[in-house]
Amino acid sequence: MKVALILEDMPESQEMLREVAQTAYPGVRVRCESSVAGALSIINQFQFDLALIDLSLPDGDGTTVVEAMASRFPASMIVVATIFDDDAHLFPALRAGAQGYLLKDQAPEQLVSQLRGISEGHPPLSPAIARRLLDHFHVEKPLAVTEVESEYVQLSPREREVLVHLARGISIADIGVEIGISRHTVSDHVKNIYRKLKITSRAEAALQAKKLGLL
Amino acid sequence: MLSIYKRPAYALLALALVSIVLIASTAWLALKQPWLGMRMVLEDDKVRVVHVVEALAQQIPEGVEVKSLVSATNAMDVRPSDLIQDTDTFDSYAAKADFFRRQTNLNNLLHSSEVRVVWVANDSSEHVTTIHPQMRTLSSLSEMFWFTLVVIATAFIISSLVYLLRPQDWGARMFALSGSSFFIAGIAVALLSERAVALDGSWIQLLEASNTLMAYVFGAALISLLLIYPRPLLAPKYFVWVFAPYLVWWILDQAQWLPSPEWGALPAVLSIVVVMFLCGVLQWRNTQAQPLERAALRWFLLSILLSGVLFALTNVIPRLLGMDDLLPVGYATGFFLITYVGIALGLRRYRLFDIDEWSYRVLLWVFGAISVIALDALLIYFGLTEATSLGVSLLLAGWVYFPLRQWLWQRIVKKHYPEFESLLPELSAIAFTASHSEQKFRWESFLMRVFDPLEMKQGEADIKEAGVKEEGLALQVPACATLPSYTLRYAGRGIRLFSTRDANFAMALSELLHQVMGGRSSYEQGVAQERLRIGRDLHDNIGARLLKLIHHLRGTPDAELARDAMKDLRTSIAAMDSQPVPLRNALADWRAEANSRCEVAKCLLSWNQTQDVPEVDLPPRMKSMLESVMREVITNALKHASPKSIQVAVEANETKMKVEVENDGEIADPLTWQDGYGLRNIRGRMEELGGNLNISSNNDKVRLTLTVPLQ
Repeated sequence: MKVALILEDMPESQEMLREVAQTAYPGVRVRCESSVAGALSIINQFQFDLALIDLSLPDGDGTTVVEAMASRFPASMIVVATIFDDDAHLFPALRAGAQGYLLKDQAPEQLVSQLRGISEGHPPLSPAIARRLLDHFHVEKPLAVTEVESEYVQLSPREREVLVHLARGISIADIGVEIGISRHTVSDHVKNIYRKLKITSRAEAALQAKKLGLL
Repeated sequence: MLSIYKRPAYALLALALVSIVLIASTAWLALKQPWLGMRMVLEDDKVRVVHVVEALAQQIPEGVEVKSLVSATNAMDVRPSDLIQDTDTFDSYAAKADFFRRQTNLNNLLHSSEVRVVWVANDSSEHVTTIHPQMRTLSSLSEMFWFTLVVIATAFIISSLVYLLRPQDWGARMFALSGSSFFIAGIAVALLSERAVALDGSWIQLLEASNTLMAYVFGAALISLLLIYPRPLLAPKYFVWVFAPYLVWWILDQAQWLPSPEWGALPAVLSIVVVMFLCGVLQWRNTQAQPLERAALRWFLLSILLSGVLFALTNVIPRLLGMDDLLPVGYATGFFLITYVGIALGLRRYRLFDIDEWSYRVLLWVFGAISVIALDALLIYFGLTEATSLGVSLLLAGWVYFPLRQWLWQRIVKKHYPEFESLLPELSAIAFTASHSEQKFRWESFLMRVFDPLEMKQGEADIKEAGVKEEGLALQVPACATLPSYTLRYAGRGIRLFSTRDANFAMALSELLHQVMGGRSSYEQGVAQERLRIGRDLHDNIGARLLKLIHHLRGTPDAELARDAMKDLRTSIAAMDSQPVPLRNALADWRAEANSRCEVAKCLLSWNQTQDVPEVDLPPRMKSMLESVMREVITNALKHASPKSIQVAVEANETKMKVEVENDGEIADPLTWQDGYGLRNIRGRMEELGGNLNISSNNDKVRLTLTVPLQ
């Protein structure tokens, strides 16, 4: 990680997130923004490979920035930093391309380890979001645009199994024990689920664009 | 015509009219006969005189025996056999032919201008009285004559009405056929029994033949009815084989190919009774598993069998035993009315022929209207004959009678249209009814009240237009939001047809309801939006401040308190969503939170819960309260004991949930615990939820047990 963007309007939180980012990735250069407009313009000027984005900002919804980041820097890591982990708040951002989320009220040490976890491929996934994902893939899987994509878009049986366990509130470690695979494999499945969520979102967007005559 | 018979009340009036015309014609035929001013009856095998008109009472005393009738050209003895009503009691066809011949001669004799009656007084002295035969007066017709006519007309009206309401139903068709044949047979019997000594032979033969034929049709129709109702035992196309044998028997009798007239009617009637009994037994066995049909059958058989058995007892069995009828046949026909009235009553209770209770309301309406008219007639009759002073009559009429009559008329006949203004509050009440089924019920009773139909059927949900159907017989009420469409039949209890005005009104009502319901849903939307706004405010203001607090308290023990407050805030905002949460999902959320907190605290969490979590929904507030209790319990353990492991055990069924949280670590005896904020909070919430908290400990472990009712 070389350059990080932090979008956060509260100075104390901004400071705390800067500290977390720099602890997690020593030597990272951090650029802070406190508005959606500011963040969007800075994305157009500089390159970032990490973004910590708050969702509720004075001039709008951070999800817009998540979307812009994801399309401009597909290889970057986008993490939502919020105080609300309910699916209604988070799901749109996850669909827009966020790879994980942090709860800002947690202790900074914890945030550091969680951030590292996301980059190492252990994104968090609450039961509520797991349920939401199950619904999403159950209902929306026919939306896949092409044959090739549909393969990626549908969950594998193992991924589904992991998701079902997560929806029951079982921890990643316990899931590994319960279905007899390593903790890392469980994490990989979770990462894949995130990725497929992004693909379905993109597929949907393409379909939508087609309908509107944009493509 | 089509529209008339579809309006049950008018159909019934038309039937009543037909009956009245037929009764009047019968009376006119009876009156057309020449009359001697007296009635002759059989007593002790002698022809005796009764009911002598006043003008003759001085000349012929009642009770004397009539010997013979003499005219200018002819003289004839009067024999007991001349007074016979049922010609099938003759023991030979020759005797029957002789009877017809004598009737013709007697009838001719009565048509002369002067008839001398030769009679024997009680002291055996012979007397002669000269009488000029005249037209009969209305009052000379006997009560039995009227009785018979009223009985048969009632039966005819009841059975025809059932048919007009369900013309396609074979049960109704057979029932109507029985009623109509009963009517014709009854007219013949009334004319025969009312004759003054004699009628013309060919005329009497015609009456006798049609009486017998119609009696057979009546019986065969009742048999067919029992073959199709309540359970079909025989396809209607085979019914001809029920009628055919009786028709053949009748032809044989008429052609005099039977050994004697006695072979005619009696065996036929007897066979009808036996076959009906057998059909009843078969029906009884076939309706074994159908309680509703069995109940209908029970009522039906009771009505038919009661009349049949009574008639057999008074008129069939005595004849078979060679005895006189126990009751004149005219009165005995009254028994058959039991069948028809019984079935009419059964309509209400058992929906015979699937006609709902509303046919009963039609009957009530017609009889109500007739009773008012009858009351009028009665008043006029008495007003003319009684010598009441004009003044008193006027007072009585003005103060008592007219108000009473008006009241009766309005109660029974006049239709009340509900005021439009009075409908509006009710419509909005319907729109704001919370439960769907209750809303549907209220909308249905509302439509019933406005249009007063006899029948209401639910229709498709995609009908959006009101309309008049089936030539005004039915009205279609459009579907409205979540309410289905309806088809109403027989407007105003069947006394009128639906008009386009009704359709417009129905359309207006449903559009209005739609608008009010739309208002309700936008109100609900408003509530949801407001909730969302409050949630966002909490999130932006309180959440941001708490976060600031957390940052400031960083590194102090109170930071944890602020973090718990933040978690509670999240829970509360989630509860504002106002959707009930399945227990399964709530447990998952609690488990995940406990997992992540224990992970941070490097404490091992083992979570065991009932394999099959019951399908129970927690109200949002209950979920948030329990969530904060669970949070507090874990906080408590982590804060005070620094445990190595926490064990959570959840047991839940439909009615209650038990959660046990056990931890090791630095355990202090619970008795020495000081209730801090946390424990007070847990106790308070458990109390509010109607559950309880129990704390126990042994050497190295402490256990908190929470019990909550789920209903």
